[in-house]
This record gives sequence, C-alpha cells and structure tokens, in this order.
Amino acid sequence: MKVKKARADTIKKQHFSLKLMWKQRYLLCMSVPFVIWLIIFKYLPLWGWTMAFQDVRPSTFALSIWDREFIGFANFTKAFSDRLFTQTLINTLGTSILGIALGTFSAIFFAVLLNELRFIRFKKITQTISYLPHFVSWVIVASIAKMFLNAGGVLDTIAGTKLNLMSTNSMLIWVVICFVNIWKEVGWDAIIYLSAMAGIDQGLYEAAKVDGANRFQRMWHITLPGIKPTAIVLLIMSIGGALNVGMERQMLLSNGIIQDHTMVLSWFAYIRGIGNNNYGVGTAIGMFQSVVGITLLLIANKIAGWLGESRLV
Amino acid sequence: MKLKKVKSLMVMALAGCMLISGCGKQPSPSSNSESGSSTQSEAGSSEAGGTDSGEVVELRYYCGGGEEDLFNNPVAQAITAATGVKLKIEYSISSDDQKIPLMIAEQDYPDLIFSDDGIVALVEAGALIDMTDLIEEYGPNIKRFYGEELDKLKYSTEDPSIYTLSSYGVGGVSYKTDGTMQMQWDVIKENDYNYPKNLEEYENMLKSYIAEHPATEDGLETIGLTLSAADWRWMITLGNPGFFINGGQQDNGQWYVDEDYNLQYHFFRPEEKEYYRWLNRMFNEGILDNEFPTQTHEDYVAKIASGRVLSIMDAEWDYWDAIKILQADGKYDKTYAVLPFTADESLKCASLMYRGLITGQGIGISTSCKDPVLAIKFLDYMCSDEGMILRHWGIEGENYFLDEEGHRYRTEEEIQWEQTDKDYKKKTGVGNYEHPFPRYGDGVVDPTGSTYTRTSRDAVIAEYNEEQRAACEAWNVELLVDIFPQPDEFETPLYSPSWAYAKTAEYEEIVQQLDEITWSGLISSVICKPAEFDAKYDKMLADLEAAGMSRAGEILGSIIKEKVALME
Amino acid sequence: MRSSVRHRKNGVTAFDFILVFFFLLIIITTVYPFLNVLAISFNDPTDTMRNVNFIVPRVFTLSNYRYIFTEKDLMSPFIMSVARTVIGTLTGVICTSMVAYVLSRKDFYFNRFFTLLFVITMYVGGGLIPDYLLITRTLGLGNNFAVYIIPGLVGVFNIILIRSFMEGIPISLQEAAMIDGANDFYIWMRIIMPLCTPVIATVALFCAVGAWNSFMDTYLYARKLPTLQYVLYEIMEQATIKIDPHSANAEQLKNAVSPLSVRMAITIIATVPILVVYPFLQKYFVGGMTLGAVKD
Repeated sequence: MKVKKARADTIKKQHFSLKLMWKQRYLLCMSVPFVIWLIIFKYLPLWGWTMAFQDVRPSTFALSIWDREFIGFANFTKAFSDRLFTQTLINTLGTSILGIALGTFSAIFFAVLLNELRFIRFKKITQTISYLPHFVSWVIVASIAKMFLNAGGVLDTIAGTKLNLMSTNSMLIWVVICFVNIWKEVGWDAIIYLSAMAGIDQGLYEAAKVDGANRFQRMWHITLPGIKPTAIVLLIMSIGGALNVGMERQMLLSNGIIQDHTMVLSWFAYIRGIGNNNYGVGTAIGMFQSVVGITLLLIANKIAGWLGESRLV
Repeated sequence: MKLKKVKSLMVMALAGCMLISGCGKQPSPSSNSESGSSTQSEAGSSEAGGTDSGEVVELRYYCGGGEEDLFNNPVAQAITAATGVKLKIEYSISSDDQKIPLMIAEQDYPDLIFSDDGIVALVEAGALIDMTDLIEEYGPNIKRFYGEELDKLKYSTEDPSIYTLSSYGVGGVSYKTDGTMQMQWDVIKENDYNYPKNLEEYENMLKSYIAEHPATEDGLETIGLTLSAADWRWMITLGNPGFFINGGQQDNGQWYVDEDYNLQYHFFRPEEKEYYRWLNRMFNEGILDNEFPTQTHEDYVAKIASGRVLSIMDAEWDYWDAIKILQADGKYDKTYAVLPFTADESLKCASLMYRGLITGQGIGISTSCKDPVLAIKFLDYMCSDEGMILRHWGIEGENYFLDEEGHRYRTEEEIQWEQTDKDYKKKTGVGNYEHPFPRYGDGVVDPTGSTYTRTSRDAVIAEYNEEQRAACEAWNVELLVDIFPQPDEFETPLYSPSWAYAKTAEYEEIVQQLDEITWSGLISSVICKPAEFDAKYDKMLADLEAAGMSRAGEILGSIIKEKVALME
Repeated sequence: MRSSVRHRKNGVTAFDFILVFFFLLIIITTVYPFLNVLAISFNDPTDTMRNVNFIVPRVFTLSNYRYIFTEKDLMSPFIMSVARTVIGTLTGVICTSMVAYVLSRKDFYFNRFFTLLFVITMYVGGGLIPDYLLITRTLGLGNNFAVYIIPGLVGVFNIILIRSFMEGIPISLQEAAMIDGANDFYIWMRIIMPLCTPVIATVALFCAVGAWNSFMDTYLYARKLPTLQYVLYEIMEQATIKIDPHSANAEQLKNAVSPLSVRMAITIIATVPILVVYPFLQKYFVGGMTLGAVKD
C-alpha cells in the first residue's frame, strides 16, 4: 500500500510568466536569497580553477591571474602521466565502489535491525554507543585498527595464523580499509536511515500486522521501501563523490608494503600539489575529480530516473 | 632534513588542512585577520643601544613552529633595553609552516621571519631582503660571529644575496651523538665491553646473546634488531644506516657525493647492496624483527620499553619514550650504548664530523620591514657576546654568577629549577631565544673562558647513569663519545649539508618519487627470500634511474658545485 | 491498545535474542576504541608507552587533564563554542529547511535548476585560498562572529535529506491548506515543519556537531574569537615538543608531556558535551520507532 506522494511526473510542465512568478513569490523569497548566498560562497571562489591552467608556485603567488604563465593543459598531462596515476585511479575507484556498496548496505542493515530491536532502553544505549567511533579521530582509529590487523595483532592471535592483513600488497587492502571505515562510521550513517524510518507512517505496521504479516515481511515490505527514497538519494550523492574518497584514512593505514594499493586521488593530489609547492597540479587534479564526480552524479541521477526511483535532481 | 619535511607533510595532513594557494589581487595591505600589525613609533632612531628618545620600536617577528610569547620576561626586557626593539611574536601553531603561503598570497610580511621549509617559497616570492650590505655596514658582530663561514650564507652564484642567518649552531662539539647503531649495555657487558667492529661480529654478538637469553625475565621473546619503518621513519632506521654504517659522511639526504661532486643515490654503492643483503638474511633468520614493516611506532616503542630489543638504529629523540620507561623501571642495563659501528674496521664512523654551518634555514628580514637598519642592528646585537650570554645564561646576579676567575656558573637551585619547571624558559627568558637566532654550538668558549651555551662537558658527564659510568671506566674515556672518531679526524666540507638547501621544484618533484620507490623497494628487498634479493634490489635501482635520478643528481650537483665555488 | 496486548502475548522470539547478541557485539567493538581513549587519557603518559592497548588505566593520573586546563583558559572559548553552535544550528536548520521545502515543491518553476545549482556545489570547490580571500578581503568578515554563521549557513547535503523527507509527506495536506488560502511560507512553517521532526532533529545534530568540532575556520579567519576546539588543537600542537635529548637534561625530558596522552584527553573533552546533548535529540528520531512497539 503506497502513500501518495508528490511526484514530479504528475506536475505538468509550466511556462514562464510573470503571473507565475507572482504566484510563486513566497517560494522565490524563501529561496532566492540562498541562491545568492550560494553564488557568493560557492561559485565565486571557482576562479581558483584558473590555477589549474597556470604554473603556480610560491614565486608566482603574488601575481594576479592575468600575469601568470598560462600553460594550457600541461598540469593535467603532468598529473595523468605520473608514474602513480593509473594505479591511483584504480585504487580510488576500487575503494570507492567497495565503500559505497558495503557502506550503504551495512548502514541500512544496521538501521533496519536496530529498528526491530524491542527493548527500548537497550536500543537507545546501543544507538548512542554505536556512533562513538565517529567522533574519535582517524589518527586514533587507525592506530587501534593497526593493533588489531597487524602481523602479530589481535586478529592474528584469534585466527592462530598470520593473516597478513596489512602486509599483502593487493586489493585485499581495499577491503580491509573499507571494513575499518564501516566500523567507524556505520553507527553514525545509520542515523539518517533511522530518522527516515521514524517518518514511516506507523499505521502501516499496524495494518500489516492485522493482515498477518510477520516481522520479516514487515521489514521487507514496509521498512525498506520506506527508506528507499532516502537511500537512493544518498547513493547518488555518494557516487558523485566517488573520486574524492578520503585521504586521511589511507595515509594513516598505509605502510611501505601496501603503498601501491593505498594511494588514492586525494592523497595523490596532495603530495603532488601542495607537497611539491605545485599548486597548479593540485588544482588540476581537484578539477578533474570535480568534473568526473559531477558527470557520474548526473549519470547516476538519470539512471535512477529511468528505473522509476526518486531522483536527486 | 628530508625526513622533517616528510614529517611536516604528515603533520599537516593530519591536522586535516589543505591550503591551496591562490593569487593575491593587488598587493595592497589587507585588513589583517590575524594578530596585529607592526606599530612603529615615529621618533625611533636606530642606535643599537636604545633609541635616542627612549622609544621602543616593535618589530613583528614570525616564528614557524614557535610558541606564544609576549616578550616581557627579564631576558627579553634586557634585550629591549639594549636594542630598543621589542618583538611582537607571531607563530604558526603546528610544526609546519602553513602561514607562509598565506603571507605570500597577501603580500603582507612580518618584519622578521624565521622558517625552515618555508624559506624557499619566501625567497622565490621575493619576500626577503638581501642583508649583505646591511651586514657590511651595521653588522660587525655578525661578521665576527660567522667568520670564514659567512660566505656560506649566500644563496647561490646567480644570486649571492644573504637572505637568512643560519638557525643552527656555529662551530662547537657534540657531547652526545646518536652514532650509527645502538646496542643494549647488557649485550656489551656480556662481551666484556667489546663492541662489534664489523657486520660479522655484530651478527655473532646478537646470535650468541639470543642463544643465552631467548627471553627476558618477563617471558618476552628477545629480538635482535628492530626498526620503525611503517612510516616516514624508514629514512632514519632503514635508509640512513645503510649509508652511515658504510662509512658515509655528510648527511645529504640519500645522495652520495664523490670527490668530483657527482651525485648518485647511495644505494648504488656496492657495499650498501651487500649491507642490505645481510639485512635480508637477518630478516629471514629471525634476528631482524619480522614485524618491522607494519608495526606502528607505538608498538616499536613498547617493544624497546620492555627491554627485549637488543639493538636498534635510530635517533634518540625517536625512542626516547622507551628510555623513560626503562629508567623508571630501573632497567639501566637494558638501555643503549651509542656506538660508532661500521660494516668494516677500515671504515670510519662520521657521526662527530663537523659538517660546517647548516645554511638555508634561518631568520631573514622581510621586504615589508620599514626599518631594516634597526632590524639588522637587532640581529647584530644577538650575535654579540653580550647578546649571546644574555640569551644563554640570563641576567648576571640572578640566573648566573661569576666565580673568582671570571667564569660563569649557575647555582644548584637554578639548575634544579630549570629541570623541574617546564615553564622555566618562558618565565625567565633564559634559553628561550636560542633557536632560531644565530648562536654558537656547544663547547665554544668565549674570551673569558666560559662556554657560551649552558651545556658543558662536565654537566654531561655528571648526568651519566651507572651503566654509562661503568662503560667510561671500561673504555678508559671521560666522555662516552670519546670512543668515536673525533672531529679533527675529518675535513670540513666546503659545502654545508644539502638537505637544508633551497632546491628547484623540478628537483623536489623527482626526489619525492625517488623516496617513494626507495621506501617500498628497500622493504621488499629486505623481506623477500634471499634468492629473490638481487632481483628486487636491482629492480629498485632500475626504477630509481627510470624516475629521473640522474637528472635530480645533476641539479643538486650543480648547486653544490656553486656553493663550493663561493667558498673558494 | 489492542495490538500491543497481542504483542505481549506473542512474546519475545529467538530472533530478538539474535538481535540482542548481534548488537552486544557491536557495542563491544565500537565502544572499545572510546574506552581505550578514555583510559589513556587518565593514564600516566610514560606508562602508556609501555603498551597502548588497554581499557583500564594502569597508573591513574589526572595530569593530562591538568595540563590542558592549566595551559590555557578554556572557559571563554567554551562559551564561544556554545554560542556558535547554538546560533549556527538554529540559523542553519531554519535556512536549510526553508530551502529544502522550496526544492520539494515540484511545481516550483525553478525547482530543477536550483536543485542542480545547489547539488553541483557539493562536488566543486575553488580551493581554500579563494575562500580565504573572499571572506577576509572581499567581505571583510575576519575576526567577526558572523564568520562562524554565514559561510556555513546552508549545507546542501542536509537540504537533500530534509527534502527527501518532505517529499514523503502526503501532498493532500499541502493542497488542502492552499485551498484554505495559506501561503507557502505559512505552509512551510505551520504544516510541514512540525511533521519533519525526525529529520530536523537529525540535521540539527549534524549542524551542531559540525559547528562544535570545527576549528579550521577559527584558525584561518577568527583567531581573536577562539573556540574550544581551536584552543584544544593549539594545546595539542604545543604539547608535541620538539625536544632534542642531546641538549635537554634528563629531568626536563622526564617532565615533558606525551602528545599521545594529551591528544586522548582532548578527544574526551571535545566529545563529552556532544554525548551529554545527544540523548535530548535522540528521542526525536528514536521516538518514531517506539510507536506500536512493546513498552518495557
């Protein structure tokens, strides 16, 4: 039984007219100031992108945009042909896809199960404790994680053998990092889904029980669809951020052996950019991430639309 | 030092900030959002010795990696009285200079700037003035202080300006050193205080000790050697020992410089390949801790603190936490002797070699300074004997006294106070303005016969613990470092250590990649099976070549040749 | 209610126990790092280096906290933090939900366009220095309290969250109100908002935590208006003393505070206020779950 929501396809296309603007004046007043805010704070600073096309180093900071040497796409070529670039890109995508898939799944799984928990006080305590790692900085989380995962660490002791979790130079490390991230963030990420669930009409559950649905059926037919719009939207947004997957966690969990598989674009941009006082290259990579990210976002958005799901845009 | 730069990168990232620079619009003075702007009194004349009208001029001084300081402790006030200058100190919070790019973007500089890594950027941006003429005219003390090494302060042959005064000690001797390898006193004692003179002896000492004592009293397995190599520290524990144990001299990052000033990464030296082969064998035999590539630094320290590690190759500040614990537990015999270990008797350990003045980092006067003459006179005063003594010893009659022969000494109380109160420097000002202003190294003596700095030979000897004293007796020396080849056995190179130089961006970019290759290359060479060693090591060398090592070597080589030319 | 009686009779199933077990595991693994941090913060710094893995302090001490509290005045930064968090959250929530409402109205002419405009900004950025110049030079907000409020006024992620939630509200409600002559603003404020409590609480939480934890903006723009986090960060940096054992005396080194222990204590100080406040917000989104479930 679906609740009737405002769906985009039920609204017919409108034509611009002053009359329409007047009719929607309240909506305009409520949004235009913020659009202006947006332009000032988010779009204006984009002039910084010109740096991607220039040779920008400490010696040239003080010059204005027009005075600096324009080098076309040279920064981009330099970044793309870097020894590490291809592997970095693969690492980034691999870690992202794993992260998005497993992360979304585990957050939803966690939220749904938590929702099912009957004992209120226990539920509240669990929920409060579960998001604690979110507040602990990555520095600390990484050192604890290493304690568990390193050779001779806790997991090795439990398993009784050398698992080599942190010393196998392969895609395994993506999985490891992904799990560490889930451990840190799942409680916090679940909050969004929990609040979405709180918005589900409770009457639905009652009605379903009356109809004889058991717990699992209620979960499957009410809870999950209830949070689907939120989940889809979050998923689309995550896809947009696929290339931006963190830097701090990779840096902290890396070591000499697994370096090849932990380098991601953000970290790469950092060491080749600021790390080398070469801000042009850093900006170029950042631009690359943004452009690809938005493209992915729009594609994901379109696909969601085709599938009949709620769209982001 | 290279590793410091890497460490700063890490620290900066950890702080989670990414500052990407942008351009300033017009170089107009901005409304400062940070602390203060320089206030200058109109009538301030520039006599070093106070201004005529008694006005005190404030100079903005930025100190990268410094601390909050209002410049009003007794020593500071004395400096102000003598120079007419009060410092308004700005500092960067973290040990990395994030403020430098901001400063450049805004074109707003403090009058005096100290930075280590940021100097390159500042010079390229034209932020610092050339002090050569000012020193000539107003800086007699500065000239006297640097003496022959004054020319080392010049930037390059293209640009022989003097932008900074070095922040490192001039001359002096080391009363302590890190040596090339450290070994537990217990192990040495079992060998009748003989310490290993080559790789074979070293290996045998470890093996025989392990055979006798496979575990500590607490039941923990004894480890022959462990290294902290899971992060930037690999440079200290894994990369550098290869060089220094094989007779390497000046610390030039990873470069080996031959007599003709040609450069190559030191790993290409055949003797070093053999060293790493030996290390590989140690790893496979279990003498070298098998966890070394992944263990965290805390794990590493904990291992040392438990007393189970027989030897390490590290700098003391890196494992100092462990020593504290060992001392607290009274396990002095598990602390470490610092040794001049080399792979072969014929090689000399160069730990005590005087490397010449370290240049490239230090204090400079910025182009925003409205009264550079006053600034240079201030710096000149700091280089004078009076200024030195004030900064190092404090106020006569309060912090130190003179004995019958006119030598300086401090009372027991004063020494105790300094040792127990962590705010001693802030409260009195004694020792608060040493680094990064120009200063002498330890052991340099002034005309009255007292040392400039508070550290003296006797003080160091007095602090030795029981193990160290016993060793001095056994080795028949007064100071532990006497077992090292002494500074006079070496020639001071004509160029200062290259890790502190300003280098071109192209060079830095290549070296960044070289370090990445070296790190993973060394580790994989050491942990693989002995049969695979040659292949892995040679691959690393080939990768280094492919990544542009020769080009980087040329660049640095030409800089070094220039520096040498400046001195000749 | 009749149904709740029915539930009580059905009682607790095996599944419930599995759930409890599962969550107990979760609790243990997630609370562990926190307990570890807590323990280290109360432990003697030197002893900590023996072995950093413990959850009960071996050598209890308050010295780490003492160091922090005496190093700098924490009271005024604390008040500043509270001020910016409260004001920032209030303004942020109101503005964000206002925009979210507009974007949830599919009949709004500029809906898609505006949404696109907003969403794109999540993935692009000119870099921090153009931001810096904008705020300090162009707008002159340096060291002005407004710099804590205005740049962070609206978070696009939060807009999307709220919007999704609003889209789940039956449109019949809005249509009815419009027929009655209510304007959009009224609808937003009186009808929609009260129904959005769970998501508003969530966004409020996000805004509050974000405001509370941020220190970069203080560092860049508002050193004269220090917040608690910023001061804590300063303390931590200064605790990382660059001591050269060669020139320092043994005693001095013994007294040097270990940065690790200080960092742990700082984490605790920074997190405790959030833990205190959280339960008050929690009921808003756990609340929905309690309807129709067994009351203990």
